[in-house]
Amino acid sequence: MSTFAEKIRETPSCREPAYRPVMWISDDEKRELDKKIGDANLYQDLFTMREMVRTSPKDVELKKALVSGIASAEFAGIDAFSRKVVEWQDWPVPQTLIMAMARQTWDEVRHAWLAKGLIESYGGQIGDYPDTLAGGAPPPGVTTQGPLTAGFGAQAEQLMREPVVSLSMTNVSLEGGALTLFQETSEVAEKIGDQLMAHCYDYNWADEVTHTAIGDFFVKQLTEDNPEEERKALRVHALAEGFRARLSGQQSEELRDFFAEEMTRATSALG
Amino acid sequence: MAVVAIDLSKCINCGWCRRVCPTETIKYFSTGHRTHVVEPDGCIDCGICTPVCPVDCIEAVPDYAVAPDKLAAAKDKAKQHAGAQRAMKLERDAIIARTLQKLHEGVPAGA
Repeated sequence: MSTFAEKIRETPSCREPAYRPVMWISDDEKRELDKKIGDANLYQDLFTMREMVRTSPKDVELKKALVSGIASAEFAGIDAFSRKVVEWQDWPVPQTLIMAMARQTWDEVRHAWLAKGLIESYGGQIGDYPDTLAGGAPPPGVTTQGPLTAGFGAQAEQLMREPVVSLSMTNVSLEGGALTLFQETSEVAEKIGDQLMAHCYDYNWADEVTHTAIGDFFVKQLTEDNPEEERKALRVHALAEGFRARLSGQQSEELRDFFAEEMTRATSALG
Repeated sequence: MAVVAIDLSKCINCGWCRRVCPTETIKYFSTGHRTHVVEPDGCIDCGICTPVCPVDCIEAVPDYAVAPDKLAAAKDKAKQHAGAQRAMKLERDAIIARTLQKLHEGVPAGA
């Protein structure tokens, strides 16, 4: 690995104001969040937060919380995609993929700018609310990369660096899911007469379509004529989908069958 | 009645159509490849998937007729799906109502 990539890899993410993941806030901060939105435990559930905004459109604090929560993902996106621009220089991937990651980095920067402007239009600022994703350096002994890999530690982190895995997880599955969130948030904003919010999320939505298409295009290219790699991409997509399904309570029969088949494969491989 | 089909040359595998399909007849993880495919015998022509597709790659296939027994089974599945969706919505609405009440009355969460 090149020296620069190594250096980037060992450098923790930082931001001004500093990352403050909600899962690690103090009891006092949690109580403060309770006061602002009614229940701190709902803060990470962006779908419920959005419905709260729909139900109580005059509550500006709820809008600030919703946009802050989504903004966390934009900052995490800047961090994740920009690291890939450097780290993937050492992987056998096309240069066009590296360029696509650079483009996505700037897209996420624009999204973060839009979120910042939107929060300021509500009289708040970035940092008023904690981050919904595990951005930045975690407390000692805690692994980064968010809830999807939290249970698997360093091996999962290493796995997430692989282009096929990362693209399938982030670009195709997570960004594919973000399409729903952004369009529905834009629709809620239209409904409550918040034209600025509607415009921002409509704009972001269009970028997410491109990001999903980019991910799908390169996963196809990187797994072409390689069924094992294609299966790996599918497995990662299923993991992300399973995580989302657990949150929404909508696990499909197909996904259950897929995991059952994977279990059978793994058992037979172990003899 | 028509069923739908996905133009694989345009599909970006975002999975939105699959996630909203009330009969789970849009397959992805069981196709063996990274492609979204409609199993036409499970399609009830509900029209939910077409408008959500961000790249407009879902089109009607007007000539395909689903066998009556399969159509009935698919409609049953859609009813169950709708019931589950409604239950989840009611649950979420109740949580939201409770939370907003606490918020507006200044009652601490969990109290």
